Amino acid sequence: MGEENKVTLYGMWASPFVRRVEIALKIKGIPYEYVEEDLRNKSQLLLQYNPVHKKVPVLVHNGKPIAESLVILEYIEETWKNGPKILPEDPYERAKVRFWASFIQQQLFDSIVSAAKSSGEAHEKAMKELFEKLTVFEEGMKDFFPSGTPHFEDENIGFLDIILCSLFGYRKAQEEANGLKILDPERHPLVYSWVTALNEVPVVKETLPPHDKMVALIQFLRRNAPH
Amino acid sequence: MEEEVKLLGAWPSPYSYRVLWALSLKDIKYEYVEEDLSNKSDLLLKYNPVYKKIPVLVHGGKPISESLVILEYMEETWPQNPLLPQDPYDRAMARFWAKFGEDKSPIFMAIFITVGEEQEKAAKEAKEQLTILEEQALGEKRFFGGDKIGLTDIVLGWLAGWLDVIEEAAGLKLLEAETFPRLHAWVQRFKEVPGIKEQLPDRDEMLVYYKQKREMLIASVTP
Repeated sequence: MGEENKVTLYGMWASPFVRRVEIALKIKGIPYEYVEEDLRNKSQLLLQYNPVHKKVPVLVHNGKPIAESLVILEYIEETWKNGPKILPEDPYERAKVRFWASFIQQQLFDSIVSAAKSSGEAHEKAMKELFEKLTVFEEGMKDFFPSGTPHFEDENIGFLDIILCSLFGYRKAQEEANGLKILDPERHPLVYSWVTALNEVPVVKETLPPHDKMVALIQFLRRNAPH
Repeated sequence: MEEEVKLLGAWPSPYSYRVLWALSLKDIKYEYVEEDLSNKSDLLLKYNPVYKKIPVLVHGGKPISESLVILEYMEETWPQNPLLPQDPYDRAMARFWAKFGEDKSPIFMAIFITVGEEQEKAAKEAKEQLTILEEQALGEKRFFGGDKIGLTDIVLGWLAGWLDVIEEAAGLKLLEAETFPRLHAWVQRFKEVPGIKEQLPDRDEMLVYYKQKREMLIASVTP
């Protein structure tokens, strides 16, 4: 087999963006080599493969690097055509998925980061904004789960599921580390049940970073955050 | 059977023009609806309840929002005159740079909404992004997409049609020909492409519009 179809993923164990790529590779059954980067001391290879952003994840396929997790997911989908699909076939359904992926990325992600980093009045405001956005998301997701309850087997995990995992996968660690409760089953029952169902899927469980290690990291980052 | 295509847009939004260009390049018949963003129509609120923004493409009654999502949809639905290359790696590069362009646009907007030292700082940052575009994204190619224009050119098209107006309104120059010869050449080339050439907003009208906006913004930030 040799160098044909050699896939290497440059990542960091706690990165939600790296996790997206790992889940996608595992769903598709693509064998890959994983290289852990120390983000405080980035390797020459990483800087060479992602000179623009100098970030993980970077997927290197047969020597050619691709950066940006959502770009990588689209690449994986287009390159490995056998096996489960992570995007729908129909262009309109694909557009809906990409729309909500963009919403999660641009609206929810930033809101959660704001809520996690702030305190006092700023925190209250950030939490309120987050909850409002989650409500918009909850409403939008009713279109995807008309029967109300998400239910999964491994093969059914798709683009939105992957991105959602990366967003909410750490909430137990967040809760323990700084008391941040971002998902309320009463206010957002559909999203809550969706995340809960996803957390039972083997490929999601496999890629979840160790809880205690995550708690320690969040606490460390909080203590050492620039003011 | 042809399904009706409608575009809800607003002059002079560069996001609106991205879709207009794609429609033009792919030779798609459509109905254009100009939205008054200070008085949004019921149609817009119905078709984009999440953001209430333009552009919205409506195909056979089904709405799609977010310009990059619209462009990907158009590419898949109307494959003629493709905006993306065939090869998955080249497609990934096109999407990477399109995303770069999107993510960095607040840096450019910053020069428009700031004054003095803040504006100088914003200008410096903006030039750094232009350097990356000049050297790494464009390089020696005619267009970001290669020999023909593609997705990245369309997403960065605002640099060709809008930046010089914004520079004039904001009172500073970023994209100087001597500093960015390749980008400068691309700007001229982009504006001549059939399909783009006929769909560029009027410069004089834009200047009036952006100068007014700049005055309003300055008045609101100046103590």
